[in-house]
Amino acid sequence: MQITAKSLAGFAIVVFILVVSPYLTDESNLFVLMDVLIAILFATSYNLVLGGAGLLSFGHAAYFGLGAYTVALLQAHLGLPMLVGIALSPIVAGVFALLVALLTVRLSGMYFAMLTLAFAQLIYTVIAEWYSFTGGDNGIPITVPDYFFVTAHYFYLTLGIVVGGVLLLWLIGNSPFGAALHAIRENPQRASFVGLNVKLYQVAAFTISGALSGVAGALSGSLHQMAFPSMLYWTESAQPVLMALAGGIHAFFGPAVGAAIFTVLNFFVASYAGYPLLVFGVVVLVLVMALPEGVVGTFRRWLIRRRDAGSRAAPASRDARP
Amino acid sequence: MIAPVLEFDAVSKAFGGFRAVADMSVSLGKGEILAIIGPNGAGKSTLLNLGSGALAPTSGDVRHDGNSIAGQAAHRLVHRGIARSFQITSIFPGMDVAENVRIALMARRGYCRQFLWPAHRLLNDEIEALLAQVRMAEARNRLAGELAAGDRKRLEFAIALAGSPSVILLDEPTAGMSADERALVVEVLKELNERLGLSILFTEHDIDMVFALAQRIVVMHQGELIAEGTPQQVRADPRVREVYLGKGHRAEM
Repeated sequence: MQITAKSLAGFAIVVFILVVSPYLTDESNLFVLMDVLIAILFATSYNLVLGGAGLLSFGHAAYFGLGAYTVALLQAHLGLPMLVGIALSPIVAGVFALLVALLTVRLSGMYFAMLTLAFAQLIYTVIAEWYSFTGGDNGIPITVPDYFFVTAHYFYLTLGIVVGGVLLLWLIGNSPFGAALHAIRENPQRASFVGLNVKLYQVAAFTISGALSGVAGALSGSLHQMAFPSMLYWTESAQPVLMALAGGIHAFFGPAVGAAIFTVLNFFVASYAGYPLLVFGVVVLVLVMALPEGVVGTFRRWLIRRRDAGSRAAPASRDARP
Repeated sequence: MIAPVLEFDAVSKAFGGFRAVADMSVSLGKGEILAIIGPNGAGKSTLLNLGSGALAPTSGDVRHDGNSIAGQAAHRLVHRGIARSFQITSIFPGMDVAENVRIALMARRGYCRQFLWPAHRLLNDEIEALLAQVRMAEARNRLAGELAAGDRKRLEFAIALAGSPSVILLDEPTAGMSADERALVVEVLKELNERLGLSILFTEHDIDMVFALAQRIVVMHQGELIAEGTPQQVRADPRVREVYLGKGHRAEM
């Protein structure tokens, strides 16, 4: 509890700094910050499946990309404004995630990962090839309304949606539903013998995760004013996995920290060197080998150990909640 | 004859060519404590798996309160009031003791579809009561994975008892326990049976435990029922003696 309260206080401080940041920094930094925020929502949503339900999905770029395409296609074909597209993105991405989940949760481990990857590639291929509807590999432009052309305005839109999405995921993680996911991840056999329909909960987690990944994609597409098939490509699916692992999948804010590290690093590496993914791969390798619980997981363990040593608490007492 | 709560009706289970359970008919009466004994590989665990939804029978039927439950998913049977423990203790090692019981209670009540309100303060009184029932109240904040074997087993009882099942299937409930813990388990199970009318079906290798607890005993050998009756009848049965003595098991029987 103590640590939960502390991490929430930390969360509030970070949000406050972000709220005032348009007054503190220039536009180019705000753009990086928005990419960071979007990556945070993507990675935290993703982790509902990996850290939450214990399933390795390797196709989340599809839901991210579908979010962006929801905004772009509704605008191109029906003339609906960007905000409507963003509002509908979780529904479209969620429906696809639901369908894929229904077809994949029967499998586990590597087979599940491979099948989610296969479905994601299928969605990617349809979008990349269907020129008359999606523009194929030319992508589709997204027109941003004049009001959100002001960087600070779009920044606040992004910040509001990301903070809302992350808080929603936090509530889910601490709810009875979140506890059921935790139980399923720890011991699926016991979970079904306390009366939990394991597959149903996995499908639900995957669907929520896909829906919120879609919101992240909608924000990203709108920020860059473009929906591209490459947003759905399988290498993009590696990003939330790596972000979550780098930050720590069993700490709620782990993937968010991983996403921030990933995005900032990517920005610098892309600016000054040629191979962003290579550099990030090396960083993840180092993190996972040196800090197997991720940055946040390792930090939290250190906090707990320090507190236990300080209070000379019983060795088995614990409070490992993020 | 008391009304059966759980009936195995000519049940068979084959794994490939191997018949683990062959044409078994057993019924557990309401409020009865029934032991299933037999040497290793006799099919006792398979029978419990058939009764709890872990396995579907190859042929025959399993009924609960007169309705067929053969082949139904385990989580459905839990909601019908059939709980179980496993030979290899099955708990949530990364959660604390109270959380282990809480998730079981929440699952039984259907709370787990709630997405938005916090779980960590729910049902504390009932958790307290369940842990007290297995004499584990003082361990509620300990990490389940760090408990000793006997304590894990008792925690598993508390999990199984969450939501007041009417039938509990226990696969070697005292395996790995000390004599004191064993006595405690016998006491707890007898109390639950007397106070709540809980029907208990259990397998056990420890013959003292069987005679201390069971009202009726079924003896299995190579997937088949070879004897059935009160503890006295079973003790006197020559075939039972042959199976046990022949295998070098429990010669003192």
